[in-house]
Amino acid sequence: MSERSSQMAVHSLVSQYLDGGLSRRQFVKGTLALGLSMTTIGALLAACTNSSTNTSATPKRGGTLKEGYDLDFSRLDPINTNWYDPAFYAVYESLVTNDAQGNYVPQIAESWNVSSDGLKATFKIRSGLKFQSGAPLNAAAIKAVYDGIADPKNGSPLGSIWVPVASTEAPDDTTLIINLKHPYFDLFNIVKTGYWDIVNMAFRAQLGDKYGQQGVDGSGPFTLTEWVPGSHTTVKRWENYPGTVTPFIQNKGKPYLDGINWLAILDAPQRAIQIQNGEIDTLRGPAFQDISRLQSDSNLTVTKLKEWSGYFFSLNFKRTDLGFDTVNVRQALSHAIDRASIVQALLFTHGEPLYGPITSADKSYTKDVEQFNQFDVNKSKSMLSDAGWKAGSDGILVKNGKRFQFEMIIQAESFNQQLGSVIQAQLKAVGVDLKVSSLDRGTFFNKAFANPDSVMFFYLWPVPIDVVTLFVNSVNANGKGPNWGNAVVPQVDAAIAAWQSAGNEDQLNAAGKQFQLACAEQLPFVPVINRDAFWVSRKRVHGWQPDQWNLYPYYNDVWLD
Amino acid sequence: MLLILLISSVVIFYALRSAPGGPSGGGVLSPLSSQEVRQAYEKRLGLDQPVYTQYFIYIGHLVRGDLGTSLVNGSPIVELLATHARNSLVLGFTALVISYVIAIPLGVLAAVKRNTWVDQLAMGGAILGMGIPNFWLALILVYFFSLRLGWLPSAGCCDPPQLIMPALVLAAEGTAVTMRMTRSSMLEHLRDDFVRALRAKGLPEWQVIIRHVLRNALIPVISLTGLRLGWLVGYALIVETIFRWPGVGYLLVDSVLRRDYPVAQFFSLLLILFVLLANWLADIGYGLANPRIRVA
Repeated sequence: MSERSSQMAVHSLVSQYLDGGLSRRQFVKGTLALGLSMTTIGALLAACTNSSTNTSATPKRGGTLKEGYDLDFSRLDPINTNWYDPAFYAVYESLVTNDAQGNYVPQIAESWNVSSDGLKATFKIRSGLKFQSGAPLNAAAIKAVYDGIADPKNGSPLGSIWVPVASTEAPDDTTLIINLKHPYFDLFNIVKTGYWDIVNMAFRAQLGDKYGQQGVDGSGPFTLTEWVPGSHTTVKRWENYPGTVTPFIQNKGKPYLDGINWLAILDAPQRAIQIQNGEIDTLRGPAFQDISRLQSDSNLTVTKLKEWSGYFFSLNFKRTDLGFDTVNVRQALSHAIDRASIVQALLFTHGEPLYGPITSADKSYTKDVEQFNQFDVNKSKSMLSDAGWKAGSDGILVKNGKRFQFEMIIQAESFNQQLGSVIQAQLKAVGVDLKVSSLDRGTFFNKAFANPDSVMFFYLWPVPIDVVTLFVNSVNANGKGPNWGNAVVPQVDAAIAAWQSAGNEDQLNAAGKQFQLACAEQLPFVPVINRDAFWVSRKRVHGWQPDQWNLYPYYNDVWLD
Repeated sequence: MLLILLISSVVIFYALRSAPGGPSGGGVLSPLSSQEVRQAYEKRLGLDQPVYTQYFIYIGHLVRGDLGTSLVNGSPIVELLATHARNSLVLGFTALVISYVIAIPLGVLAAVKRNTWVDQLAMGGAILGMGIPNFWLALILVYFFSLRLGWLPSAGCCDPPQLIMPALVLAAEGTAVTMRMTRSSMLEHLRDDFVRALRAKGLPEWQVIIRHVLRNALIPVISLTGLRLGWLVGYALIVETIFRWPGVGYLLVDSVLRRDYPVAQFFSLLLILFVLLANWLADIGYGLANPRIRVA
């Protein structure tokens, strides 16, 4: 069965289950027959339960949703943001988006087609759309955004992902054409992300550096009221919102909520307290030690999904004295990491070991990566010994009078610090002396570009292979991008080229596998773990449905008792 | 005072720029931005110039009344001052009121009931208040009143219930100190001759205590207020951060972490100015309490 038809079958089962046409047992049997894992089925059931409980009553208009968020707020500028926050789902829209089963569905574009040679994607844009400022949102406005991403003057770090695009055209208000240098099946995966959300470029230019801070101009159902990093982001309903054509959004008109207030709750234990105490209505990312407590609270609904992103650390290829430019040394260090015990101890089993560059949440994931990077202290020691490293008097390895000692920088956050300490202890067991430096945000990213020995990082992106290419592509080494380990691995570069030139689903899957295996074996960075994503809502919240395929829930259907 | 401010401004300016990192890493730019983009951004801010040049440009702007704008959220500092200073004043004033409302009656009671269980209880409370670190007290209060009882919000601003716990934590040490000072001052004056005379005249005991002894005993307590304002500033940095109360302390900590230079510089100076003014008020208070100090 092809990927597409399999998705359609799952979609159909979900619809039947929601309509009451299937029992839970029948649903599980049907999905198992389609080859879904129990974890995925569990996630689907959780989403269905959430969906069924949240849509059973008549929606009420009004009220402000208070949502706790586990990260600090990033600038609300798709073209230049750290990552995209939930507010992007409220103030902006993309050409297309994903439904809960991962299918591409219309948002700004009402339909699309790709030419038979795969070199031209034509999107039919909904007519009569406007930005929140009143400026027309037509094909020319979208072309301006995409050209802006490609223009180095805008400093978008995403330019290297947009490389397969040759040009864009807007022959009339409702037709947008993307011309490709070669067939590029992954195009839809890219334009559905928040980084390709449609912004009024004229307004953006007018606000300059203050765009995304003091104002935004998108076409989503809410308008920005206030953005205060470290504290809150607030939006209010856009009264002129023309409505949506996205099929899975049931409320096709203006949102029910008067507004949304996201609160950055960076202190992990405080998130659970605030949702249990009723100070917030919904929450993303409670601390792992609080999950079971929240699950036992009858006032709350806890949804567990797979996380798209993983933790990894780089090893700077320029540290030739330590052998980081040698694959055997990188593999030796990777074999010293006991990922399973980290998942057990730090994530309370709410996650999984990561053996390759992407997590099992992604449909491209191949289990073949699990042949690499397995925990094996003896193998690690043996490989280091073969590389000429011998234990010194204090147990730390020494070679040519040089101690095996290096520094890893991490962003100051409690989980990062715990993970850093565990990695430090595990590397010490094979004779490697790791110094973990916990840096505040202002220092971390500057130092990441200043040739550090090692960087531990957690990315946030719903299309993992595309973002991982940024961290391992040799064109992004030497300060030109976030390839902080200065990794230059020809096998990885070749896989990226294959990924970016895949003309159909089969080619894309093959390139995805090639990329994962190349990364898992060659280790341009060392994968560590993947944590599960948890969402919590109070019973008074309806229509709030996080799903596996979108980073955040959409807010048009949300209403409060 | 001006000289201290000037020296402080130089120290703060250099200290911020000597810290590792810079504004381009503080969330303004994407972490994925290239080194080239980062350098271009910092050049646009003038950060490629020598620090002393940057300092003189900054002072020039300050003198002209241009406080600048936040690099992180683009807000003019005047606006940040209006909102955050107001929040800090509300919190600080509430803490002071709580502190005096609790401390003075208990201090008087402890003095009047000296060496009884009332005195021991009050002084035990005072020792606890001085001994417990305020961040720990904050966690205990959140655990009981938010998590266990669900009576109070654990953080945020600016509804009255959200004010209670931060104000209590901020007030804790001041309450303890004020209670002990009130007690010792009361005990000192209770032994005065005029007190014996008033009692001999047959004045009711409560009138002796409240109208005569307390009035005298409060003078050093009032003079302490100036110093307490200075302490409050220091504690506010911690309390506002724990309870995410968006005051000046919270903003200052956040701006330093993000290397938001204009905000960090201005609010550091503002707090220094506030502490200087508070000390000046304390001097005046001492003068009022004891005219011999003023004459000297």
